[in-house]
Amino acid sequence: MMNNYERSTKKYYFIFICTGIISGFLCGFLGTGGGILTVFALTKFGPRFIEPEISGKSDFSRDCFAMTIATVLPASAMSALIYYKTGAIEFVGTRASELAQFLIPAAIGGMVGAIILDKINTSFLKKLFGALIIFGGAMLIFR
Amino acid sequence: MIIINIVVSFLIAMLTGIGVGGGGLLVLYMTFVMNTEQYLAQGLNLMFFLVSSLMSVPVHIAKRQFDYKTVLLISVGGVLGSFAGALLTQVVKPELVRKLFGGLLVFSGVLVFFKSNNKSGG
Repeated sequence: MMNNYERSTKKYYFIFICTGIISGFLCGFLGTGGGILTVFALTKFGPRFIEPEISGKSDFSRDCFAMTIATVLPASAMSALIYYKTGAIEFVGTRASELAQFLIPAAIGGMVGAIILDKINTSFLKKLFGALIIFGGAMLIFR
Repeated sequence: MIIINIVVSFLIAMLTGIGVGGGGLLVLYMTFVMNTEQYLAQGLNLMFFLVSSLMSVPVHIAKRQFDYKTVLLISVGGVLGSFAGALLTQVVKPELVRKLFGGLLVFSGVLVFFKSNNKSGG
């Protein structure tokens, strides 16, 4: 735990607004990768700017993953809106019954994932995160 | 095939709900296994993410400790950034940026993977 806790300084606002802008930009520009930066920023700067009651806990990394998904949601909604308005993505040709096969499990799976986050060992969580970053990066390079 | 779709969707959504993200796994599944067109797959992937995270965020809020002020700051920046990014990507093809960022991700993924035996985040 650190003692030099700097809340509400100019640096605090600057760092986290920039984190949002860059993450959001990546999300909109490339369609993926924004959340990774937010996880890194929260784990790196959290101990300095977030109250020790939260950032000093041994499972702070779990909170970082949870907070990240909450920040990526509005950014993704914004880029989905822009993509849709500009015609970059389409749902025409996707039948409702097909959509249901994906979106219903998406809803249930999302909730189950959030519930089991507590049960997952943090070092395994980081391994999983690392593996998915490698995979996501490879997708960007070779797509 | 329906059963496989459901199982695959469920597993990818779980990764999203945990917070580590699906990393475009669904796009890969849709294009390679289901032979869906890329733009349709991306549209579905985005909807998929919105649905699964919309369902997981309330659970996270209830169970985990959020620093709301920080979440708000990142979210406001995120909406502005994604607005700019999503518009720009229609004009400038992000080929080079995509490859560079992909390389950076692979590199940092390797670091995260091998440093993950440490007890605390850092």
